[in-house]
Amino acid sequence: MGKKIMIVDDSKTIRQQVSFTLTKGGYQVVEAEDGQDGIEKLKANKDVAMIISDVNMPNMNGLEMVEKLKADGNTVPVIMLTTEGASDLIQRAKAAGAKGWLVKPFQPDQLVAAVSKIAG
Amino acid sequence: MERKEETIASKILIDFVRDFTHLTENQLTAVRKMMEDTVRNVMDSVMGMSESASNQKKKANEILVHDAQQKNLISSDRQELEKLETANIGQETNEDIRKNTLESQMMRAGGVFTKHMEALSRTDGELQRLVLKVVGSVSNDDLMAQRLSHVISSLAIMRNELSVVLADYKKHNTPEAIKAFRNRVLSEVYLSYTAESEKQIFHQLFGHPKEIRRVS
Repeated sequence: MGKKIMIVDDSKTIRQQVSFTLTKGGYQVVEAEDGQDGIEKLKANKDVAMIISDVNMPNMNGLEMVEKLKADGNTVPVIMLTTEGASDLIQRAKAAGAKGWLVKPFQPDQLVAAVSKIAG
Repeated sequence: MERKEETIASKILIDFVRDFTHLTENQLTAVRKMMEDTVRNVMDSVMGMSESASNQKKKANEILVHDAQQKNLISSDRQELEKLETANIGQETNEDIRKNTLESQMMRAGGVFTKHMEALSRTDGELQRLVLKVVGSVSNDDLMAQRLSHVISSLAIMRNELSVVLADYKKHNTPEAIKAFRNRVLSEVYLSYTAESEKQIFHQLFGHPKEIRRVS
């Protein structure tokens, strides 16, 4: 059984695409609809090895989620998968503890490579 | 003097509306290109899947055994195998020869099965690669949806701000008021952008708004 990865994105199609790609890559996947949902589901899935998160989402955006995780002392690695390319946002994410930044549209092999590098 | 100011203000407004129309047109053209590229990539992958399946079927056919006796052996059930065995017993008196013949046939049949499985495995791997390519291509949909929503919101911003100006045009018909209106619209529109590519289109028409800072 592969490691468990969480995808946090308000777009169902993106969640499906990432889930499909990672499942084919041998990983288990947990889906969350926004940052708040991600934090809730992380409590129920303590074995999540890594989080892939969008930035712009309702309720709690991806950066706020990363900052909340850091404030709570949660060290699960997070990479951002977003259409955003602004350097100020990338810096903010890095400062909050994000391990990487992938710009949509994603290439499946690059995504699997990034997950493999961080989650193993 | 006042008349001249009004003429300048009107010219600024007309120029801005013209440039804003260009911005909208260029953003929509870029989204259309993304959509065309996505469809083309998906179609290329679908064609690749079809071609891959055909090629592997052709290869699988090439390694199919056309020898009637082996075909029978491959597709035979237990009764057919017993028939073959009985036939061999009738032809061969030596027990070792009979066994060797059957073993040889079984091994050849096993080899054929292995080749079939390898061909299927190759097909599966190739199809999975192409399916992942499709997934990568359709992940554009999120980006296209966002960019379209930015075009829609920019038109709403323009409509709202323009209606304020036109509601009391006599009051707002000064170069300063029209410039302030233009800057409000451009700031709101630029801040709604998330992708670098849509910001680039904005820069080409209006320059880089260095003073603009993200609200959120």
